[in-house]
Amino acid sequence: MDNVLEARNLRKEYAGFALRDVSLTIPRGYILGLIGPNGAGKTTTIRMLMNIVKPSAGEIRIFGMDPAENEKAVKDRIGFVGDEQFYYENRSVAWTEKFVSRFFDNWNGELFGRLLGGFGIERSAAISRLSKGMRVKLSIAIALSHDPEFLVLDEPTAGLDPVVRREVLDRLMEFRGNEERSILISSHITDDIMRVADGVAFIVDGAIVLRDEKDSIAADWKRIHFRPGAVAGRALAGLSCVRESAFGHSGITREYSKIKEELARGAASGDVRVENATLDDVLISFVKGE
Amino acid sequence: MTMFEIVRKNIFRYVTPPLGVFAVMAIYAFSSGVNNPVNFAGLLGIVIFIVTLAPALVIEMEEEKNRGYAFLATLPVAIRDVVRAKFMMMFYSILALGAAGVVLLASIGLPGYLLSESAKTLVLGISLCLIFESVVLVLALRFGSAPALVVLLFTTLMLNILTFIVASAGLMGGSLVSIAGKIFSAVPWPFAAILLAAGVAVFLAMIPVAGRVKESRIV
Repeated sequence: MDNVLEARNLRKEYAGFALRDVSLTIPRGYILGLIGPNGAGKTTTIRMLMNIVKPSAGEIRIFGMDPAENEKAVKDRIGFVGDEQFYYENRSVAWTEKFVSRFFDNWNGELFGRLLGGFGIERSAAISRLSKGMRVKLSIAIALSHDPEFLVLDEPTAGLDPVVRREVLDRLMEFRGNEERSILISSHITDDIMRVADGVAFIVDGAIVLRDEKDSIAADWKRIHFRPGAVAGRALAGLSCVRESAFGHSGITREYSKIKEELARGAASGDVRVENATLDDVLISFVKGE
Repeated sequence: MTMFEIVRKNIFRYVTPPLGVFAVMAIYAFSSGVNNPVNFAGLLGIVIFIVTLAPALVIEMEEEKNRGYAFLATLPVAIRDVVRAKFMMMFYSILALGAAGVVLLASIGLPGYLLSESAKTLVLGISLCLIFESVVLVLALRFGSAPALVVLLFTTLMLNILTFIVASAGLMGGSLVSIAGKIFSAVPWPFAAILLAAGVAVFLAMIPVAGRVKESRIV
């Protein structure tokens, strides 16, 4: 399987923040969710992939090419939706389409029209009058209308109401219908990632702390609820984020398969209850680090 | 994507002021006649400076207001190519207006000596335009168009103060245009040609510098 993205040891230093040796690989046809709290380095990572920010070290290959040296060729095959949507505010949607269509080799005006229609955006609408949700939808329509092989989405659903969020995610899943297409989607809304991604990379404080398949995370990461004294020894030592709960206590383990047997008796007696950890739980576990 | 396609959205801003102002200058020259061709050539140089730099700064202001470079960076175009297109648009405008200025001077029926002196004044003006405008545009890309405009206004003010000091000291009388005309007419043609070549070289050298400056400051 070939990779659409290979990023190795990316570094970037800012005052008070550093991205440290970030490496990401995305095979063709794969959806990777990039999860992290605000300020963790998601946007910086994506901006480096899009050659908007220059890495101070590291190597990026997209479709086997260096995006800094082959910007036109690479971006022609990428659909990008940024965390903020910038347009020429005194222009219309129709003007914006005409403007951006000149940059893409495979612009499909008919598809763009259909996407706009589906999103309820008039071609004659003034950009300055579009709501936040409409601006995101327009950005997605632009990103999809040149038949990209790879979608790069930076917090596309942040700040959107649930109805628009669902609509946006549905479009992404439609795009994914073609198994040759890949997506990198960053978000701190883990529900969105859970819904669409095949694999997840967690980025915390400028570093990738976990990169795994969604199913593996579901198998290994569990939230353990237990009554006082029901969990001890290695099993208790392996729990993070231990808190008092209505059940008694609860904590998160990342090695459920290793402590499963130790918990079996408690589970049988009803003193231990095991449930899948959410991506939020995993993220909090890394951020709190307890 | 060609240079023209990149700057196409602003083509009227690039073309209208030079054509409009130059047409007014031509009408003036043909209707009222030109008493002092060297001064007129100096005035043409100043007009070319204003009508080529002003649209570029207005366009940069619009880009800043709309975060235009952040938008363009999402499209299949390198920001350095966008910057190069803007520089080349300015470059061709200056040279085209300079050439049109020489044609205008030649067509108002000046005697050979005066035509040579006034054309030389215009060539020197164009050379300074190339140098100064490329530097101002780099400043605009680096610090924003407002600080670049302040530098421009400050420079204009300093030149006027200098003119006043020179005139007060009795060294040379008259306006900025006439003082520049006197200085420029004293310059030999070979030096004017060298200065024009230097102007072109500085302008072209500023393009990759500007590209790097803008690429490092897209967001």
